[in-house]
Amino acid sequence: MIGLTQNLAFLPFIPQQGVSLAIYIFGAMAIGVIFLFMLTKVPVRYRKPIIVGVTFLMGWFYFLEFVIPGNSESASVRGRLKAAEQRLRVASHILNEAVVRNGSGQPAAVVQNSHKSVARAKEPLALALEDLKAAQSSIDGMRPEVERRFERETARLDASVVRNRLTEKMVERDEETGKVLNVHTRALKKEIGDFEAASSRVGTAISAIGEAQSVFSGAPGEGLEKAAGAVSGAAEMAVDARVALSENFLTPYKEPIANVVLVLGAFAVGLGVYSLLSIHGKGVLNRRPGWINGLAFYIAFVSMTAFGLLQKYASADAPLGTLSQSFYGILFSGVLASLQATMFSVIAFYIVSAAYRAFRIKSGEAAIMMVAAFLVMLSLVPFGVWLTSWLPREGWLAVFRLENIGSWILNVPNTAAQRGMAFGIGVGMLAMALRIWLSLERGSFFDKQA
Amino acid sequence: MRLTNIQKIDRRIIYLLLVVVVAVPIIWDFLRQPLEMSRDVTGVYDAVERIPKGKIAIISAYWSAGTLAENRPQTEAIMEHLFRKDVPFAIIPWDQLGTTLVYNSADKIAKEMGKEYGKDWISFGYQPIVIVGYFEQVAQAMPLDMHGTFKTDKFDTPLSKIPMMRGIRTARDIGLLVDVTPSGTVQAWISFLGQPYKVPIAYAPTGVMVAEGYNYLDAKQIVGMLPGLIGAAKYEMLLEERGFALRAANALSTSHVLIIALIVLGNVGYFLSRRQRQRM
Repeated sequence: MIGLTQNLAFLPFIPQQGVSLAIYIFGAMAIGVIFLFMLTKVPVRYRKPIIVGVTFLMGWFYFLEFVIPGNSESASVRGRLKAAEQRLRVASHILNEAVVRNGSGQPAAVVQNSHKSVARAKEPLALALEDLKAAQSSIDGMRPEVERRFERETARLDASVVRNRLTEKMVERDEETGKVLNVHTRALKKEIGDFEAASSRVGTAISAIGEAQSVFSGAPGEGLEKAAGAVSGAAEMAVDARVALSENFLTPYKEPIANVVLVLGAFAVGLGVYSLLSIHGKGVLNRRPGWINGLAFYIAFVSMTAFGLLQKYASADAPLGTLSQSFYGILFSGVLASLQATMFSVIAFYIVSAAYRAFRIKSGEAAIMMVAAFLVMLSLVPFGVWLTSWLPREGWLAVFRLENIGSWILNVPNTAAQRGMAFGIGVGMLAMALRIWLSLERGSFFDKQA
Repeated sequence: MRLTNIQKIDRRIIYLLLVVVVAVPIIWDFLRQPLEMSRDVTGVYDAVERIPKGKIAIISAYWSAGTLAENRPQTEAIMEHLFRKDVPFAIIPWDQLGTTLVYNSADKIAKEMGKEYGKDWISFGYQPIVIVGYFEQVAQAMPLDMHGTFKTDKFDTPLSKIPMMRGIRTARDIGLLVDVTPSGTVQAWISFLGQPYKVPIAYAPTGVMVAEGYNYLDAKQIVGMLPGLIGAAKYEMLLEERGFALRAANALSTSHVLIIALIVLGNVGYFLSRRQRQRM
């Protein structure tokens, strides 16, 4: 709920610390509880349309944010940058063709007649340089207007701080400039940052082209791989600059909406805690079978929470602080970590016992599986390597070394099977996501609600 | 005792045997068996060696006490290598318990190697992956603005005031991301960091997740992989440092041999009893 209110435009100031922050947190929590209570009172027949509507709207928001191009002011700049990138890629390709590479992809030599390649690359490079310079000039021209808007907005907020007699504790300021931040000024600051980033990337790209062009004036063929690398780097920079300018009118709302999603996720954690407390509480109060476990849960929950908070907030010099730190250490490292490690270790015993009892060769497939399992298990451990260490490392006999057999199984049949499964799962997930989004899904939840 | 009974060994005997074959090689480090180096492990090693000056490494640690035996040696081996190469690194811990465990590991190695918190390494502090969608959002936001995404370190110090993080803001400043995890988090790193920004990604999964990792390795979406405990042992070999993983690798050998022997015994007993039934 704090995240939700933080994103409301009509609430420009978020308390940063002290009592006002505590009031803000508890107030937000109260609103959250009221909100949840109201949701429980929604008639059953309206619940499904609400869920479907929210899911549909959220889906549309992200879809539109993705497909709508950036604002019209920067559209021509992005066009220039796209053209520059394509020309740089062409030049990079021509130059790379002139460099012979070895097996590991490292440049080994320069082919003869490389001067012809250089001549071919010069034209796209010159055009790209022209595009980049024009783009940089436009970016630098657009930035002052946004800076002015930022200044105007922060001045307005400053006046508001004075008018409403707000203390510094209630205001969030930018670490670098000390300007007051709210949803709008934060978005404007980001926009300025994007312009800076784009301009800097374009500047780097222009320098890289200059570096490549200086190579061409040297001895024929010399430093060609360096020039190719510089041009490729310039293309990447052009892409980065374009990405920095690709925001549309929906982009500033991505962060607030993402926060809403996180807050909803956090509600699930709170709900889980509530559910645990409720179930075990009823068990203890009614002395149901196993109530002692419920009591153990309550003791663990309360002591871990209390000592966790005390060790963080109580003064380390005070007796309470020292005591809580010691207890927290015992509970955390001595109990929680040991219990978790023990729980997972027990699995090993069950796996061995289950493998011994259940893994029987009852069919051809089971036999293949067992042989493959044995080979992979042995190939991974030192004993397996030792078993076939007498075989040569090179030549056709080397393929029978266990580590090579295991590696082949993992890299070839395993990878093929895994990819097949991954494609299947991917398609299935896509279908399921669409069904939920388009409210076609008839799961147990909706069936119960109907 | 009839031979067919070898498929009915008491489970307590099996448990005891497992304890012995795991504990003995770890406590008495007497076995010296060979380990063959593999390309997946050298890929990680080479990626660390290639991190350019001025860039940092990120260690995404989503492990806890449950998988500590595999993930901690992996994490510590990579941390040691990064410290040796003077590559600063930042830890993103995703698990409540793991946050302390990973911090303690880094702190211990840093003290041994005379490295300083804030200058050579930092921890971003616990990131609550339990909140649905949180991990994906961090993975998307971090490459664009690290300071804006994490804001402070483990001790609530603003990132802008930490010497190591000055000038480090975006994916361009990341030389390598190492994902140490018993889960499938590497997919998100590949999607949001590796592919769009060409940041090299190394994967350090637990043994059960290894089979899936070969897909990414084959497609060159990750630069290398430390397959479970054996991966950590091989990395220790490359660092010429005999740590826990190399000792435990022998325990892995003996336990694998025990499992294979038990499965063979179980099947021999099964075939003998089946033959007996057919004769009757």
